[in-house]
Amino acid sequence: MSDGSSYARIEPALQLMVEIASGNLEARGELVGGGDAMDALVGGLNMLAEELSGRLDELQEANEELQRANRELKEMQVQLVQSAKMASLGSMATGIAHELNQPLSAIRMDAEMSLEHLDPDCLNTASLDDTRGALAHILAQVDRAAEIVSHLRTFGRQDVADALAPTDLDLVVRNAHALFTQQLRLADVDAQLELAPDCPPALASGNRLEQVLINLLSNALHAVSNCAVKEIRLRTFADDSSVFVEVEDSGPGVPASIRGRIFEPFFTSKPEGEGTGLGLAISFGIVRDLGGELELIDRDDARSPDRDGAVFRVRLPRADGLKT
Amino acid sequence: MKILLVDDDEAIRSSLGRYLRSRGHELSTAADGEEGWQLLREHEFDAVVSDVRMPRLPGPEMVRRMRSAGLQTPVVLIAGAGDDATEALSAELGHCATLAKPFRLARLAELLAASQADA
Repeated sequence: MSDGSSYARIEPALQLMVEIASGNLEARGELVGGGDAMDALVGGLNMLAEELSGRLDELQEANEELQRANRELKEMQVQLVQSAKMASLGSMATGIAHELNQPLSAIRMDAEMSLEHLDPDCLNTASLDDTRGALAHILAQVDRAAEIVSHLRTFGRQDVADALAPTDLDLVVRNAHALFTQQLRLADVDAQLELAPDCPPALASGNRLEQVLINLLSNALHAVSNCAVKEIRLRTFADDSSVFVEVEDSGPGVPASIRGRIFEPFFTSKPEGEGTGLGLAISFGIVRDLGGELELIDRDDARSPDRDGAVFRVRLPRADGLKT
Repeated sequence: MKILLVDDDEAIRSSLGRYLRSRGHELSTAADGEEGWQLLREHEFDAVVSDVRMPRLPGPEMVRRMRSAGLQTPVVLIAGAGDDATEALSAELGHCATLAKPFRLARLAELLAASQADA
């Protein structure tokens, strides 16, 4: 047997190998019949192609399954963020009810007094002056109530496709702080805003960032609740590429033993039934989605190294371009 | 009547203050229980109208201080949303009536008048 004739004999098998190797898993070699070694080889290659083709289909199916699961996960995440928002609204409900009831009560008193004073039998200059004062006060109180309501409406909105846009940090920080005014005041917390003048806008979603700040504020409020010194600082500043928001509290700080776990879902240091353990995990996810970072800063790194407590820092990209 | 009005909400002090003054009462105001307590130690009042939930010193705590100092000035406690101002609390504090916001001014006037009749 010459080399040439043996090459000719194995050529169909070689071609089949090349086809299979290049990804054509539909390729099959013809069996000559007679049960010789070549047929065995081609038959084996056919089986290999068959097997590979089956495996590929399985892989594709698994891949589709993964993509589907991924989509579902993303949807669930959106829902989770929404329910966390609703949960923080729920926990603020008492404060909000109180906050709304105040202007309503003032309005009721103003209106009742005005009616009484406008009685034709006892109308005089003084009663008219009082009534005018009361009516002006009613207007101001209606505006106060409307502001609370309008803010709650923005907050409750579900932003699935929450586009990134230049976001005024001042406004977001003030909005989040406003939701806590009543709770902070009643808990005797000295809350200070240290907002950098002319802080450049962040590339973010105001609504989602507000959710983060609400979670951080809620934690800070909880942290200082049993402390002698109750201080919370909300701070903004910027560097060349990023803008920062820090929430600093005068609480006991985060013990080293749990520092590595605080961003884990369902991890909470609060007593059972008080914390969902989702606040920081969700906040972490939101900030990451916004292209930034949420971290617990070492007190040495923080701007107030002389104080006790925790400092959570949100870093977000600047909206005014990619300066480095 | 000399009335001390204690409330941390400026809007309530303004509305209620305007009304009480228009009824001819002589009015002093305080923004929390601590401030109210200072005024109570320095001046004499015929009645106190106080909010329940306030920073520094809540209304009921201020009244407890008054009572333990032997000060029996009648008090109307005004409860906000979610505040716990029950009849049991009024009874415990003594010379104390409660109203829930929002309330009728006419009802407050009745309570103030009744407090003077009792005193």
